[in-house]
Amino acid sequence: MKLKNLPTLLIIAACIAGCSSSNEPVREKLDPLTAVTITSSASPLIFYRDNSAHAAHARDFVYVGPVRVNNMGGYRYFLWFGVWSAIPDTPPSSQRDGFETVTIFADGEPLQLSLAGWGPTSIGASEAVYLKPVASAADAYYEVTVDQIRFIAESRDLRLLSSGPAQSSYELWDNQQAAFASLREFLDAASY
Amino acid sequence: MIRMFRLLVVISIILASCPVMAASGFVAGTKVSRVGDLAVITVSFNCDVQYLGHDPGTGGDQLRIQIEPTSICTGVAPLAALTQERFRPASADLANLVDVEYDGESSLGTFLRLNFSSAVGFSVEPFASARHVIITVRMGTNPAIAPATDSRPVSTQVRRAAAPTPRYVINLQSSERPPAMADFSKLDLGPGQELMVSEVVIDGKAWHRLRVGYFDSSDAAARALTELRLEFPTAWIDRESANAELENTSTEIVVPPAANSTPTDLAGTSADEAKLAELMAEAKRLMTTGELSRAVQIYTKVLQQPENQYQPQAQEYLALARERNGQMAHAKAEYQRYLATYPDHEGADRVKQRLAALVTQPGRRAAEAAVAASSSPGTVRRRPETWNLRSYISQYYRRDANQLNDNDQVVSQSALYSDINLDARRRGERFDFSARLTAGYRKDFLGQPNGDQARVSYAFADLADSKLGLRGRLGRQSRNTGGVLGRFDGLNLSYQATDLIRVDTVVGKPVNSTTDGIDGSRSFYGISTNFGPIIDNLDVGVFFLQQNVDDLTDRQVVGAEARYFGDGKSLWGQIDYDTSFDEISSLFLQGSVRLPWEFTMTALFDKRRSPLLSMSNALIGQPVFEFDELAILYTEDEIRELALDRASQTTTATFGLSRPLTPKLQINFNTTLATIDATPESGGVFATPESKYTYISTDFVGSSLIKEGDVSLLGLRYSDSQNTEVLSINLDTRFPIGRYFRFNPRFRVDHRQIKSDQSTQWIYTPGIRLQYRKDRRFRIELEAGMQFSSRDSVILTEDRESYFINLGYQFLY
Repeated sequence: MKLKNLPTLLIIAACIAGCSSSNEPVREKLDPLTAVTITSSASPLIFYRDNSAHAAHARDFVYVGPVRVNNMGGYRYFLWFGVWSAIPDTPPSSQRDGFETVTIFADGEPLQLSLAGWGPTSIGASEAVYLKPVASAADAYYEVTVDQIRFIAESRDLRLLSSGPAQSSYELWDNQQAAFASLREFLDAASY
Repeated sequence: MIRMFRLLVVISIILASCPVMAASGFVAGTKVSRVGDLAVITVSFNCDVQYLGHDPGTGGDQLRIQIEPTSICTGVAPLAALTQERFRPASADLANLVDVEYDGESSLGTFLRLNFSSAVGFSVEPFASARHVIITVRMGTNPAIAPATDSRPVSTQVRRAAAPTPRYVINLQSSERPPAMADFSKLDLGPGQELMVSEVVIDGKAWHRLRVGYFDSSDAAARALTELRLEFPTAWIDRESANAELENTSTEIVVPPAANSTPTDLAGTSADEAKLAELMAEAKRLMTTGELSRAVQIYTKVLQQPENQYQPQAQEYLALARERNGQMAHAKAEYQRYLATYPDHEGADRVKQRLAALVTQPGRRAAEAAVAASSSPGTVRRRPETWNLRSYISQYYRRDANQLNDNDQVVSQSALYSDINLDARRRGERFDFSARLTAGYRKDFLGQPNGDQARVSYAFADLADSKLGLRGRLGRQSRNTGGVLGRFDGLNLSYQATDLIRVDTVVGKPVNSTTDGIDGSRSFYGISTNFGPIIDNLDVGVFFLQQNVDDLTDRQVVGAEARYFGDGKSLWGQIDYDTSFDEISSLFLQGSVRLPWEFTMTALFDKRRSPLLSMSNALIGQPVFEFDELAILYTEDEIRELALDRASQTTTATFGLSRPLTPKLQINFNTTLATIDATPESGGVFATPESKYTYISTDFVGSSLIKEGDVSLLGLRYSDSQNTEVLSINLDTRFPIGRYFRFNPRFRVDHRQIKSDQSTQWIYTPGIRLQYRKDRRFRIELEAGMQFSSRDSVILTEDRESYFINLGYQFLY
């Protein structure tokens, strides 16, 4: 391919996509079945891991987004994980390996997260909170406090460590100003 | 006289009422009656109790009575006292009562809590030992006057299992010395709350945490936090269950609320004026030394006094302390309060300028605040001159063995993988220093050549200047944008020019493998600029990077990245264009969109040269190992042509659909087409043919089908490549066992058609994973599996058995 103007077209396409839809940094919706109110940020944080042993520049990804569940005035907070791989023949079942317990290192401080469940019912919702990046992505929810989310939002260095023999360290993707801005807006909406 | 009359009414109501139904729990029943503005709540027990006290004394929306159960019981065992109950009496509305809680499981004592829908006045008749607690409730003017005799049936108690519910505490402050209780004796606590000192050991050092609790919901804690943060700006909320896991050792000392807690009026006398002056001087000193939190406390205290001459200055400096402490929202509010209260004061212009600066540069300030501020829930607030060290280690033993037909079993791997990670951090008011080392070692027990390997993934030092918005990182690190292809040894400088624009420069040497040392021949430099967030959810970046090998251009790339998350749609794209080869080196596009009828459609497109374009590719298949040796054999143009020939074009396109069938069950469909283009013969290296792969899969995923936290996956998969055609079925289920274990059995069956000899192969792969996690620091994991395969062809039958085991631990320190 020799299309030199592709970078420009890419940026224009993204801007058009952005201008043509709702761009609220924080989203709130009422679950149609459970009647809880779900608050989430628009842009999740992206973590990645190079899997060069499998293929050159092949990567595994984890999307992380905050969730607040309001059940008649009772608030609970979670982190949603969307685990997926850009490697085409990765078995979907193996994507969940190591995510029963994960640790987020926020400025070196370990925040160990325990799994609440693998689907929206584990947080009291009937439908997914965040959009799946790929159809085979695994969803996981971890219960946290709002202060832990705040700590993550205020950290400069973030990384994620899964558990197990194939424990993997996921680094924060560069330049996620939109995701951090969305996270701060989420905290403002949830703040007191 | 009126008091006597009321007492007679109470006694007659009790005697005239129906007998209370004895229940199997500790609380036998509750009765509510009302006359005029006076209601009487009688809580009856199945055991004698002693009254120890109650709070608050005269009124509120919650009444807490401390009692001591005795072993004198009727119809229940004394152990019934060690339960929790919660119920709402049938006539609760007569007393504005929401519900009644009995808590016999608290380590702080046995309590009866009455929750009211609004503030009421109450009194509790003290008694030495009795089966009843009588609470008299006084309400305001209420047109609804209940009849003198309550003819409704006695309340029926609904006993629910004492399900554990999280409780919340507010951590006010932490210090290495025990806090002086005299400083907090006048703290205004809410009903049912206590002041506690918790001792915890972190990294071998004892810390004293001043805490307020307990709150039954995070919302209640949040309301209290708003008030408490006026005096304790770094206060934070913790969950009792999480707290138990975080603490090494913890003892809690309940601090009884001080009697007659009224604020001390400092103003009004010359001695008080002197005291205020002393406080202001102390606060000024603390601002200079950087102890901003303590300065905030003092200024707040001055502002709480009756009107005095120091308050305008205290208000201004309170806002400034908040600003310097990174609390921008609080700072804005305090500056605005100053302008509203002292619009004509001499500092008003100054404050207006500071407020204007805060408002016009929120992003920059937020970036600085993000660097300067910290509120770690797991540790104490960091102070200057304090190092924070964290580490984790893990070790896993891996063994693989296989056996072909009746031959001897062959162990192909027996090795111990050890990994360590060290994080050191020191945070000051302006500079923030951190360092990280991640390394590992593989110990091979089979004596294979090069079996023992050391690897260094990360080894860097990082320094950030919050004042300038500048940050530098030196050492072995990784990047994934700006043209950098992952891990490298070098220097990365970042500068946050505005809240929307960030500039990065990088210089270094690429690292192909964590077992490699520093590359001797290749080096690069580059610059990138990132813009975002644009229209809230869009990040855009552009870059240039030049990489040289010896004296030649190895790579010269320009590129861009854009990432957008909208409502129900997302798009992420990256492109690298190599100007020296005049070719796109890589293009990546990934998108998702939510469709009607609950469908989600996803797509991924990846087109790249593999390996990525660089002059170093020309070494592939050549009889030399160093680039300068290759330069002797070929001209630069020939080397460039060889490099292009060795990098085949790889194209992958994936399309997916996902839809929930029920809230607990979803179906996913994926199809992938991948092509690896042929490479020509050149430079003595053979050509490679084109390869095509097709993958089609469908998965059914069920979560929390049997119990909360479980997940089951049933997958069907078809793959077609140049050599094989495979049909697979896979079952994977994982679920928690108790509090500490997680279990994951799995099983897969493959039917493989090998095209070269038309043979077929059946493969059976059972496996398990088991995790044991006692606390947040330590866990043990086991993974084991076997594989049985049988291959039949015209000329042979091949039976193969193999197994693997992976056993190890992870420890966080």
